[in-house]
Amino acid sequence: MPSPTGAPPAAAGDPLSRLRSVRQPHAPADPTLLDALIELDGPIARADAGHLLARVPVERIAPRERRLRPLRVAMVGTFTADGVLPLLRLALLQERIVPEIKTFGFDQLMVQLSDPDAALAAYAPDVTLCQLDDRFFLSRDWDRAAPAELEELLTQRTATIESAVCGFVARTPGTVLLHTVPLSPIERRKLTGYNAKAHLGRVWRSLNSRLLELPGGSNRIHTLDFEAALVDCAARLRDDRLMQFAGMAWSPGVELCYAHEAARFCHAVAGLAKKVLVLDLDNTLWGGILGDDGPAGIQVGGQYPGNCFAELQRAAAAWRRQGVLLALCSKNDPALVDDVLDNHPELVLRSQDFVARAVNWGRKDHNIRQIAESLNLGLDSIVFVDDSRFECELIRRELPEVEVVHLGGDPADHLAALVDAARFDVPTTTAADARRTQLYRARADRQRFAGSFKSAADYLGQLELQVEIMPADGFSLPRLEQLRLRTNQFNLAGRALNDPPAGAMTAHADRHVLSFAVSDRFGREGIVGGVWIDRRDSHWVIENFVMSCRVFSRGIEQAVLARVAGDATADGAAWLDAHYRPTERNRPVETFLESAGFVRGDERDGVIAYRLALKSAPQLKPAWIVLNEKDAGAHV
Amino acid sequence: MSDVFNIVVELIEQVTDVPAEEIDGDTRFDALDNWTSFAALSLLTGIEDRLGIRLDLRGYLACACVEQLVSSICSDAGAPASPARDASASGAGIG
Repeated sequence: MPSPTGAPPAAAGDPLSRLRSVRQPHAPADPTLLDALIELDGPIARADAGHLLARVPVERIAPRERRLRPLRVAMVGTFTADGVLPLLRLALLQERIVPEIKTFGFDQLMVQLSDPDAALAAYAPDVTLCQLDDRFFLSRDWDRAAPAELEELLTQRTATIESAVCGFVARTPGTVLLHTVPLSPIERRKLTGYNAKAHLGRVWRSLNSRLLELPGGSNRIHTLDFEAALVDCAARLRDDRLMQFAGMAWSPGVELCYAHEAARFCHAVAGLAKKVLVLDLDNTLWGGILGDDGPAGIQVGGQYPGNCFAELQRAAAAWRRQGVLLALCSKNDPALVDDVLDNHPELVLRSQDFVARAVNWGRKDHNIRQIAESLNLGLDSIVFVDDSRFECELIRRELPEVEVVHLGGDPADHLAALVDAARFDVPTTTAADARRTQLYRARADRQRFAGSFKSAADYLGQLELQVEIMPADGFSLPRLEQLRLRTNQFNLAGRALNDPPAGAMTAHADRHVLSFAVSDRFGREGIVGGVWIDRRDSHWVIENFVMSCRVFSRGIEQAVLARVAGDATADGAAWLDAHYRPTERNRPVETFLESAGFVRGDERDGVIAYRLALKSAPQLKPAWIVLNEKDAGAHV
Repeated sequence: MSDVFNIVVELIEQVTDVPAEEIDGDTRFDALDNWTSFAALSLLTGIEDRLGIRLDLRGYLACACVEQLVSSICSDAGAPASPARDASASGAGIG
């Protein structure tokens, strides 16, 4: 394996051990650690990390290119919310914010907001997070038999908060975040009549409605709908032991949920909202591979799984209407993509929804860079979405400023994964947002991006790519046959259905078929292609060469050709011929032949003869690929 | 037994920042640096999360030293600690 170059090697160990190590004086920096902390699950481990992070300079655990925004945050509440602090610190760092956080003690909310000389005002926070609990609103002895009194009590309390918050905002420059308040289920269960339970529910919801309305027109007061956010939180609202012993109104799980929501809000307030959503096409915006399955064969709309892809498109369209710019970055045939965008009846997104389209066979990091340049926006304003681990890792490595969302597994889960990860939230949307796509299209309309094929050699060097070439046998022939019939794009003979099947070819002594399989550090791709060869006295003829487009742009075809050329030379052949039958879709093969040094010859019956002289053949196998020599010379 | 001891010591280190090497069975909670009621509750929830048990807060607060806490966890094996144990009895307990 070639030794990795460029990026530092990933540190070993679980993230918490790494965090303890990096805390030691003179320990080396660990720039991938902050991103690795995302693996930590649950409030206990995340709180532990949050405590440790209090004394680790962020430069030691984040990539150098990562720009982090400082933010001064205050936490003040009607109860003890100290458990939120470490969770919030970690969540903010993961939102690319370096926070300075100060808490103001138990039940300090009203004092700190109202008193101009209080410590909160002196701290001058950018964001003040106000934590409220139900006990603040309910007097301990409220008469459950007199519901009108409760309504009156809640109205008074809300008015008190409103005047305190408005006064604070008038005196200080920062932003305040309130939230809707979840009601302990015990309160509902204390009531016996279903009419009374319903009344309590209605009154409580009107309290929360008033809190949601409280910001009015102010852009410095906001209310997080925390009651709604808790719908997906598995934890109980309260651990009554912690409540009774220490006045903690939220269980650790609820504190974690709040920390996440509050950190997202801070991300928006800090002006870090992403502006561009760069989308892959195959298995991201639709199911299937357009180049192989054709416009009629892709899955979008209708029933499962096509409906999942349509839902994702609807979410992207909704973002577009709220000011997010959409762009395409896909390895595909641009004419075919245009056809689908213009004519496919089930598509939600159309050509005019995109401000830039990089549809070509080039490197995605280069394409994304060009998209950012054409829009005159920073790479840190981009969210990139792809189903390929290869592409996602490439972008993470080459463009660490870009937010990468990998969509794997069941397409039904893609939408939730995307809305959870993408950070388009802003404090306030305006009417101008709806016109943004139009404005940018005028600037960058129809810009076609020239794909760059220069390989990302140092990235590929870390992938541990292995290509195993072996003679086709009874196990691999059915898969090869399927690939030959399904593959449109990298298919030398252009997918002629009436060609003899691979099995028939192997019956001739002078003909042989090789299959090749690929694996990398993400796992095995299995058999991804094959080569059909006819051995002549003076030369070898490549009758077909097929490879799945899933593994394009990794140098695999060059490595396979290197092996074939080596075998041919050993067999006494002076040159290699390749019989290329151009179709609408298999241009990538032509590009490959020419880049490998084949010289174009005459065309006859739709077949172009390409020839590579073996004596002068260039070194074909890329340095980052290990070829597994599995008796490839033996003939079946 | 020793597994639980090691886990408890590791969690005490996490919540107080006192190095594990300095903690043994006789270490009293009220003698630890940074020992606050919040640290005590963080340790409680940490133990419960890690061992998948739920402790009775009274029994937990009655433990004055590490060894006492470990025995209490082991003898209860995840069941609520004995209500007979009275927090006020040992006085110098957590918190």
